[in-house]
Amino acid sequence: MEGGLSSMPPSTRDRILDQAEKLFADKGYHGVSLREIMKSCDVQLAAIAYYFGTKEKLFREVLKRRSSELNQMRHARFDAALAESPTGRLSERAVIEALVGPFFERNLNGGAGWRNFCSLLSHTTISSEWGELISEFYDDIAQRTITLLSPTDEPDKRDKAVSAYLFIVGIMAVIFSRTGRLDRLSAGSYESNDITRVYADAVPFLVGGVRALLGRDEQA
Amino acid sequence: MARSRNNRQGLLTRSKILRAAEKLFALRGYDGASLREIINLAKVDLALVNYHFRSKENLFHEVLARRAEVINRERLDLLNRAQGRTAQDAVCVESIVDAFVSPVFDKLATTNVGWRNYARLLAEANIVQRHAGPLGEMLNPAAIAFCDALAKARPKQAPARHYWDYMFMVGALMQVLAQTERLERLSKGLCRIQDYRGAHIELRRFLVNALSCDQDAT
Repeated sequence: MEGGLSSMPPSTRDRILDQAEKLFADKGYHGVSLREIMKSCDVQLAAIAYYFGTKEKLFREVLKRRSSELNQMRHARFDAALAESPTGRLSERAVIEALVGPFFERNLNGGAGWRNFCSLLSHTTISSEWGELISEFYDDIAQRTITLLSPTDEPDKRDKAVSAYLFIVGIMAVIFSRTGRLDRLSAGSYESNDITRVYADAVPFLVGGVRALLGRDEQA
Repeated sequence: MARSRNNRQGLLTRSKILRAAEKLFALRGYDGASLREIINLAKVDLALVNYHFRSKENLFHEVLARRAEVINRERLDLLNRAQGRTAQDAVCVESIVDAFVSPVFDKLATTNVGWRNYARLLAEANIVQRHAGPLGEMLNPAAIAFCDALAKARPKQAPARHYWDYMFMVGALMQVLAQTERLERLSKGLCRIQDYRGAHIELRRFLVNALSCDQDAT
C-alpha cells in the first residue's frame, strides 16, 4: 500500500482504515465508536457504512489489510530459504527469522500505520473474542511454520511445534504491545522502541527455546 | 456489635462484586463487560459498586491486584528460598524459571475456576496499554527481583539484556494464560487447553534453554 504510489492521496477507504486502525490500537475494539472513527477521518457515517457495513466488518478489514501483506512476505521468505536448502528442510533459526523478521521489518520501516497494526494485532491474538478472525488470517502461516519445524518424518514433534509457535506469538505480542512496561521496569536503561536491538535479542532467545522444545539440543 | 456486622456485610459485598467482575471481565474483556452485567451477576445495587470501588477502572484494578498479591508472594518466596540454598546467592536459570512459572501453574491446575478466569484477565492486562501501568505497579517490585536474579545467573550478558528476557518470559507465559482455543485448532485436537501440566513442562523446557544457551546458539 505504501511506497510506489505515495504521491497519490489515500483513497477514502484507506483513510478510514488508517484511522480505524489507530483508534482500535489505542483504545481496543469496544473502546471506540463508529462516530469517533467518522469524526477522526472527516467522513460521513454513510461512507463507513457504504465501504464496510458494520463496525465488526470494519475491524475485520483493518486486520485483513496488513495481515495479508505480512503473510505474503513470510511465505516469500520461506520460499526463498527453501529454494536454497538442498535437503528441503530449514533450521529452527531460518524458520524463526522468516516468521518474525517481516514483522520487525514492517514495524521498523512501515511507518506509523504499521506500528499501530502491530500493537492492535498483539491485543487481538491474546483475546478469546477474536480467535476465529485470527485463525482465518493466520492459521495458514501457522501451519506452514509448524510443518517446517516438525517435518513429516517426525510426526511426534508436531504438538511440540504447535506449542513453540504459540510461545513465539506470545513473545511477539509482548514486544509490540507498546505498553511501556519495559521502559519503567528497566528505569529507562533499555528502550522498548529500539526494534533493531530487540530483534537481535529475541531471535537467539526464540531459537534456544524452540530447539529445546523440539528436543534438538543435547544439553537441554 | 452492629458495626462489626456492617463490616462483615461490607466485606461480603466486596467479595461478591469482585468475583462477578472477575468472571465477566475474563469472559468479555474489560471493555466488553458492563457494570450493569456485573451488578446483575453479583445481585447487588449499583450504588454499592460505586461505594466500594468508585469506578469500573478501579474495580478492574482491584480484581487484578487481589490475586496478583498471592502470585507475587509465592514467586518471591520460591526465589528467596532458591537464593538461600546457594552460597553466592546466584541461583541457576532453572530455579528462576521455576519460581516464575510454577505458582501460576499450581493455581491453574486446581479446579478453582476463579484462577482460570484471572489468568485470562492477566493476559489481557499485560498487553493493553491502559492497564499495563497499574499492573506494572503491582508486579514490578517482584519483576525487578527476577531481573536481578537473571543478571546474577548470567554474568556474561549485557546488563540491559535481562529486562527484555524477563519480558519474553512474560510473553510466553501470557500465551498459556490467555487459554485461547487456537491451541486446539492448530494442533487439530492434539493439544488441550486444560492440559496445564503438559503446558507447564513445555514452557519450562522452552524458557530454561532460551535463557541459558542463547549466547552460543548461532
